[in-house]
Amino acid sequence: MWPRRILIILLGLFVGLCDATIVTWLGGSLSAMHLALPLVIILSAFSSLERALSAAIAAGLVMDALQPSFGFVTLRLLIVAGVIRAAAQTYVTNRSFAGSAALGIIGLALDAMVLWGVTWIRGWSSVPFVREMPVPVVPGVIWMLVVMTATFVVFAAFTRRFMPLVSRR
Amino acid sequence: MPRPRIIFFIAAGIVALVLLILAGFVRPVRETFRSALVPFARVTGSIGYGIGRFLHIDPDARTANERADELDARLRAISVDYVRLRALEEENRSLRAQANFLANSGFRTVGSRVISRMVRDDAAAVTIDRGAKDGVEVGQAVVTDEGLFVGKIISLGERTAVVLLVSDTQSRIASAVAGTNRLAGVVEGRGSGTARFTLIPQSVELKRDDVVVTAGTEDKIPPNLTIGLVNDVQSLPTDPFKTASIEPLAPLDRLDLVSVVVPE
Repeated sequence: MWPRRILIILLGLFVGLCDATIVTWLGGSLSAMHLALPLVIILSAFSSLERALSAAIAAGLVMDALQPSFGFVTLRLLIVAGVIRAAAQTYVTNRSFAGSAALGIIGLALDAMVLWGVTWIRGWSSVPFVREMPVPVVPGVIWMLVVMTATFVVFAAFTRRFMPLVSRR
Repeated sequence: MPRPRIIFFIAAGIVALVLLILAGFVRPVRETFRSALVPFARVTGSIGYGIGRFLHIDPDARTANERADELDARLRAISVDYVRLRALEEENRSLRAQANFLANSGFRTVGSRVISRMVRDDAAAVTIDRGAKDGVEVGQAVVTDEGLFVGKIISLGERTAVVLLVSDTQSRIASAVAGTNRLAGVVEGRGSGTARFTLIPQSVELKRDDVVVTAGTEDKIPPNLTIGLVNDVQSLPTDPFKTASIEPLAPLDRLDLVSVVVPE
């Protein structure tokens, strides 16, 4: 299992690096094309909580270290990972197209709410800081739907994850 | 459903992490981590800059041409003013200072690369790959290669620093009108790449296309760093101060290489 864990951590580091450097250069609607949040949501919804947390910590630490803004990205990704895992196993199924899309939107909304919360708390401090701006809503939702749909379709087409349990007796 | 024990450990971990960050214990670890990331960030930052430039080719060529024509007209007008200014001794000194703003000022520059950005709406800040180990300090000015003022350092790491750009809504820079060598007001960021020159006494002469520079009254910011051009001036006879909208001359939306102005 360790090689896979290391792969997930490396993937998280790479995705965090891309989000903190490359994605910040994309202007307008393209700036919503973040990678770390969808990665954490996908791992949390379709894989395991442990992998989601590993990726969240790796990607979040890179982003917190490099981004000029104060956004507590690691904390936000950890919270999203935990809540999405709980939602995927209770209220929202991860075995349907609509359910997957809903999990993506829940993750996006939760991330924005936690960002608003940490910014509000940080605002009480007298030390100046650069606020992290939330992703634009419409492009953010579209991007998340595209990523979740593509992931669901790939899982459905190339794995046996969603095949009905049938056997010859 | 995740087991309650796991949720408890996650929550406890998050609380412990927040407490450690607030107490400052994470700083050495974060600095080491950040230093290790800087070489990779330089590479991916350059890739991002290239992609950003490629994607920002203006699709509306007509708008771009109109804008270029308008800027040409303004440039011509400024050139005329420039010649007039050269005739006056005081302004001539100022222009020499601008042209060679670091020569006799006791400052030098530290070249750096932008590795991460947050330039959206009200927020405008970038992370650069130079920090305390390169002699950078909080409050120092950051300029482009041409000496155009970009912003100032607001936070510092060992190998990185955060620059608050002049258009950020939290940015405040003591400023002067070029050629006057006298504090005239404060340039405040207004978001979306714009700024506003405020608290200008009514006695100060100011008109469209005047050049606004740093006043030099801030400890670590030398005078005569060009900030931008005056777009229009708002003045009411009943107000003790007038204001003006400023167009920053530095390309704030596509900064790649910048220099930190540090004392010799």
